Amino acid sequence: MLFNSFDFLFFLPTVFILYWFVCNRNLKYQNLLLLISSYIFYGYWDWRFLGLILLSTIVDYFVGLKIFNNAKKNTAKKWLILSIFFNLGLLGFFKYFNFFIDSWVDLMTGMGFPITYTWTLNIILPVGISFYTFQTMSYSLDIYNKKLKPTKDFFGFAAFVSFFPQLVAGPIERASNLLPQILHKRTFNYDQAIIGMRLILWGLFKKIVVADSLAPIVNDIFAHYDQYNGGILLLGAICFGFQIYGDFSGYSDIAIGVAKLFGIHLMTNFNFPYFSRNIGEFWRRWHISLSTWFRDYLYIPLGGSKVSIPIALRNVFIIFLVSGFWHGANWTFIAWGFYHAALFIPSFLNKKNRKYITTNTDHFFPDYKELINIITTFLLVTIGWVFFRADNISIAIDIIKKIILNFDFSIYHHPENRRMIDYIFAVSIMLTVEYILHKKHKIITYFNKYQYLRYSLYASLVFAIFIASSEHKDVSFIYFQF
Amino acid sequence: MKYFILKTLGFTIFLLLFLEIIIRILHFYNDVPLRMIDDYGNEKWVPFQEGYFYTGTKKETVSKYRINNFGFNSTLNYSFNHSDTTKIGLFGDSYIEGFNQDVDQSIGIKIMNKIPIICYEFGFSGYDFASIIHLIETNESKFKVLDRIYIYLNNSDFNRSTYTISNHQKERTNTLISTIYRNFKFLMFLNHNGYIKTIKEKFRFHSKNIDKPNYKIHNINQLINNSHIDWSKVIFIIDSSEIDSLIIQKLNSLAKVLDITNIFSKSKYKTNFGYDKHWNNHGRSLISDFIIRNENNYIQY
Repeated sequence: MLFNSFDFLFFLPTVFILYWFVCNRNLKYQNLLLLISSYIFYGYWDWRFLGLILLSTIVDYFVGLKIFNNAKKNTAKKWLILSIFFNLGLLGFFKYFNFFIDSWVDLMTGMGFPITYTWTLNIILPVGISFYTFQTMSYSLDIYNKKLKPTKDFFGFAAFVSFFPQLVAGPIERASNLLPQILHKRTFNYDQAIIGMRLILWGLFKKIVVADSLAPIVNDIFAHYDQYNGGILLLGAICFGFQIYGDFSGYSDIAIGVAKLFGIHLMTNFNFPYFSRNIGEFWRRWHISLSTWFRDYLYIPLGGSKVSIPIALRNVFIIFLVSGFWHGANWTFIAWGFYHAALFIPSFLNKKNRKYITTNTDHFFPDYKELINIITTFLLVTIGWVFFRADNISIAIDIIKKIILNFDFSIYHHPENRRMIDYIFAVSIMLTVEYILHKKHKIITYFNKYQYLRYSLYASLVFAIFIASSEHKDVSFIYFQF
Repeated sequence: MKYFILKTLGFTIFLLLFLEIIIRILHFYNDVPLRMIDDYGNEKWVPFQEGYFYTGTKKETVSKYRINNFGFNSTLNYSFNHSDTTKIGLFGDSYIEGFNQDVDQSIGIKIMNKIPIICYEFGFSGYDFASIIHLIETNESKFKVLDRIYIYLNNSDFNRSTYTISNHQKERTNTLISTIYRNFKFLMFLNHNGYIKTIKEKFRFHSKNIDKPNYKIHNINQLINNSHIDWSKVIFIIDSSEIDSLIIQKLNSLAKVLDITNIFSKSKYKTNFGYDKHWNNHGRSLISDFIIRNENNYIQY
């Protein structure tokens, strides 16, 4: 089920009413309701893959208990390895099997040993598999690292694994954050619910008005990259940058907002990444739940930065390459990870990667140096998006070559004959609002003070959503494929 | 919780009011004319209405319409007089109706500007093969003057074997319901942008047969067996890339078929609006030229 569908418009209020008015007296009933709702939510896409979630849930539930109950570190480690093997095996089979076979065939053919018969399978990628397998792995890892005690409440644990707001596209929650909230009685919090509603509205705006509206432009430019000059290809890459941000951060906002309606707090996934002043800051603000997951469960166990420089560099490359590979079974994602590692290394070596930890809220408008840093970081990230979006690496390189060598300012016509100015307007609204929130400007207090001003803004957003949504109804989220 | 629900309800009321006002101010609704069902059960527009129609969700195109004395979008009032001038009738759905283009740029006008004939246009949104046959049959005495009858059909026009007026059609011509609907511009906006249709489709049962060619051919057979139309006058206009070949064969056995696929696919310019699949001015010019070329086979200057 999509957040931006009519089905969800009926689904959410129904679950909300049942949750707070029918099941509110008993935590077990509330969790059971969450579990059933989550399975309905997921089953709407393809009920057959519910078996995978259930299997992953059962395995990690028992592994968690086994790890905790084994005093011997070695035995506990074996159980942990079982959990990791199972989850990565699931991911490997459904997501990477064909990629490995194809790459093997390409390698052998390249070495002069052509393979005519291949064993690729016609596998459907289960939606959200990369998200929930990582979430369940974090449970076993946290128990192993003594950060968490396992639960004996199977339904509570199953509700944690499949919690519908963040099941298919994150944020990837740590068991240590989400599970205790699931296992303890929730109380309705008015302020949190209002914040949740605002996040849902803003997320829908970013998804429908920005991301879905830009999709035809991006699809057209990337599909006909050979017919366009560098200027238009750069426009395509910039539009994709805003599309993927609107799509993914929009999803995260809606997920966090919906969770708040159920009294659950999910972690922040995006923190205004396009206002970052260097790549290090960008990665602290983009897909935070994934980057911190890799940091805590991969980078730090490998030694992090507190090792010799060559090992630290290796660790940086590993974390970026794995992060790229997590997104999909294609060399383009690995190249994207490599590209970001290459951008990150210089500031890492100069120890400037943690230069911008906090947002500068002293002044609203950036000074020229800050502005140049923001624009440079944005452009570098935008070039990286070409690898992310292109069908293969050679196309990505062709596009980047054209952007650099064949740059020209020319007019682009929308593939559906629509007015381009509308999209510039939509993106400008998104950036302005996010910039105000990013800088915590005092204008926010005016909105909090005057109800009708606030309501008018919300209603204008709803109107924009209605207008944009009638062009492209029920468009899926990009990150569902990861 | 109680306060949250009350506040949500309060905001919902504010939202509805806000949307109603903003849609009125920005004129994001269509002056869709009033509908009627005539004495013979044909759905038409109430005669002599004028207004503006917008195409595209963001009002990309605004066009003028005029409903004539016979209930169709045309600058001509139809007299059906007997005279020596060649007369043709152009039947079809919204593509022929042409609300997306100023009425003085309609396909009929484009034809009449180039060759000395009279072109009556009978396009109406939602008309299918059954509606067109019913319209022709029930106006047989008037349509006798037509030398040729052009019928534009697409794949979705063969889903009925008999003509009936649905409850939905009756409801929308009901003065009370129509008045209520017309006074809620937000509702008109939702309807025009397909939201109401989407919701209805969620609860509608779809026949599994609806896309099968044999089912459509069965419907065509039923319709022609019960009609008394002079098929020698009829010329079908179709896009063969969108209609099953079995259906085309059936239509060919009944009357002459003109295929617009090639002229559209070879066009250097876009033939529709892009944001809307209806023909744009160029598309309409191509259709009118196509009909003119066919008419030149009959007319002696």
